[in-house]
Amino acid sequence: MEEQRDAVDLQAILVELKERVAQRRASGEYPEALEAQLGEHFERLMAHRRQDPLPEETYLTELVEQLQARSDFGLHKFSYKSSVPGGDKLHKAVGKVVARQNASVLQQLEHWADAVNRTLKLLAHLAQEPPRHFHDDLWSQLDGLLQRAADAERVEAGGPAALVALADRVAKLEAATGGQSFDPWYSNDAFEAAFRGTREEMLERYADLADRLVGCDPVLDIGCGRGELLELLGQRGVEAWGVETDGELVKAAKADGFDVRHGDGLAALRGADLGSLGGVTLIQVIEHLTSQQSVDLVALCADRVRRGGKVVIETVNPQSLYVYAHSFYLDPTHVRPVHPAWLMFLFKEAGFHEVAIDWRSPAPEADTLQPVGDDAHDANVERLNQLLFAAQDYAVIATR
Amino acid sequence: MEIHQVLVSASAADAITDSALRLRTLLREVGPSEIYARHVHPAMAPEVRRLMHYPPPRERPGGERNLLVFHASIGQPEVVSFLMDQGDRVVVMYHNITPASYFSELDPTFADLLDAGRSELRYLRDKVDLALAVSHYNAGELEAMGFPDVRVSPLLVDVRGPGAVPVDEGMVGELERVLGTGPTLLFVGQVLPHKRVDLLLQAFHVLSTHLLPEARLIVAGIGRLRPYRKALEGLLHELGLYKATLTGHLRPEELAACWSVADGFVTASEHEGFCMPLAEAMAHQVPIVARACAAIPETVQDAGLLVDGDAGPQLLAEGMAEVLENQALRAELNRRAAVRVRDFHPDLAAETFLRHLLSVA
Repeated sequence: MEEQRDAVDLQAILVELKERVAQRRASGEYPEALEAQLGEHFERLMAHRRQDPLPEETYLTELVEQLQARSDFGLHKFSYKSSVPGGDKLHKAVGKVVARQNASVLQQLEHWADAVNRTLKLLAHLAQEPPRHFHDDLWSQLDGLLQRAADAERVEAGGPAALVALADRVAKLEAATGGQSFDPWYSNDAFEAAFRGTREEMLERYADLADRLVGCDPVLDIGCGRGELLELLGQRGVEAWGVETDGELVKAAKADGFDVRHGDGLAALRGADLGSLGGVTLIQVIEHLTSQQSVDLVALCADRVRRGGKVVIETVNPQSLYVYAHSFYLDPTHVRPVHPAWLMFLFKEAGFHEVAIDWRSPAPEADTLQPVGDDAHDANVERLNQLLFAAQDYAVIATR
Repeated sequence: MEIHQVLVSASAADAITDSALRLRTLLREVGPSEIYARHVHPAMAPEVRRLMHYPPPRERPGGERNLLVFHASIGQPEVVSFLMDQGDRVVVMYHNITPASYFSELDPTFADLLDAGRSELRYLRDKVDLALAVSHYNAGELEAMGFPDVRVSPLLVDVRGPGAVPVDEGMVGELERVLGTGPTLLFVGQVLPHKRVDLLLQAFHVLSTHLLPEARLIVAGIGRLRPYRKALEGLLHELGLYKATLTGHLRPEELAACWSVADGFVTASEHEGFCMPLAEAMAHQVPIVARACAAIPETVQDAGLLVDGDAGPQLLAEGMAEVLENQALRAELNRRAAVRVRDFHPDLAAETFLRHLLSVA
């Protein structure tokens, strides 16, 4: 077996094949210049095809034209000429008699020839110009239908694009009908003054968050209000600008010299270039958004914030029941509280590298339940305190 | 990050679309993966999405940059500008672009598209994160275009042997009725100028006139280019090659019938990036004779008889006769083919492909 394998040497076979060709040429078995002739033969065939790519159709048209030229029957085509002197008159007389007898046959023949002509013309036309537009129309309709069917299948299969589109519609409906259309007669200014604390208190409260954003220029502060955070960032040398939906607050912030634009935060994010932001902040804003807006917000942040940049979101803590009694329902524009675990999940899912949480604004000590000195009771007091009086706010600090 | 594929056009029974579908199956084991194409044939609509439906970064839940595997085969400016503008990472998979010169006279529009394909590749050169070629031959072409680091990633193919598709017995009978009986050579592939079917018919003329009058030749494949096809039909007629036939489009069962009666596989092709039918011939244990052109030597290696790349009809005819008649050669080529065909196992290609992707992911 091994010997037989060794016997098969492809190179040796190739050499032998070449020798055989040479021998056949030398012996005259192959006519001289056979290969060249074969090549030229094919070249001639190709040259003919290049000049006349559609010979059958052209030939058909010519035939139809010839037929048309020949099918002009009529009495005027009868010749009465004769070489015999006076023969013309005789031919004419006989011809008239024959013509009278054959007139109706001739007429039928003309009708038939017309019909044949029309049919052949149509056939020639169809052969050269097949009604492609019908095909194209049908194809495009079919194309559209199949595409829609395919899209429908993807929706069933939970296709992300279809779900996003659907969620977008739901969010729009929610926005149109939900708490967002709230339009009070009092000024926002008065509301803020009554419930939000002084500017000094705000500056003190958010100084630590501003510290975390050093080196994250430029920062976009969504829902910047009067610009307290912008002021803190400016003090730290961080380039920052804000967007605010309330026109009155925008005016006030601008008057104080801050770079604040009137508009929607999500739209501002969408308008920013990919990876162009170092930081995005939302202080007490996300509880004003719908769930869909919240997930869109995180996705947009993932897109617009460069690697190493930070997103800081501070909001009320739904894990503290005290919040519901004191603050959450105080603001009628709050849509829903956002659970910290969900928010952390969103950032992790969106690919943020580090997601930290900072518990803020402990409930006033005086409001909490006090221990009574009995260990068993105090353990319960502690558990109740955790449930009722957990931190009122939290901040998620997500690093891209 | 998601990995998606981009094609210029997706159609059924197209080798590149087919390999993209296989890659998608593989990529879906890793994560979500779709195929996007500029032109989608209606038959492919359920499988392939339109390029315009590719979600821009802002619509992605994660917002991360995706990895796009672009199958380069022909020019399409919109696809290239899409790749340039997306901001996603791009891996080009080069399937080879037939030199335009084969089509410049017969189909100038198509020739222009082929030329554009090569220019666009040069344009994409600095944008791509990784350049993959399905053969070393293709890798060489990419390197000649200035791509710095080209890696070879074999085509993910499912090489089908006998039994994969039922044989249409009616077709076997029809071939015998038309061509009679005798040792049978088979060519499978598109009937286009760069495949040199003209030279194949001339060689068959030499074979049947001087060497093996009983031999039959089946040229199985569609001839999209009418003037070329018509000229071949003319040659067949004028040379009196009544034991050769151009089948045109075949159903899989009919093609299986052709393989079932084939005693040798032959191609005179001048330009191939891989040449899938060679692998199929190995799987069917049909000995190969071919001209040593382009990627053919790389695909065949020692599992087929290769004559010189510039061989004329006479030498090719000698090769055809040898492959049909030399029993020791046939047995040895079949043995080698059985070994070589294992190299085309899809798991091997899949592993290489994923490893390359991982290096840039």
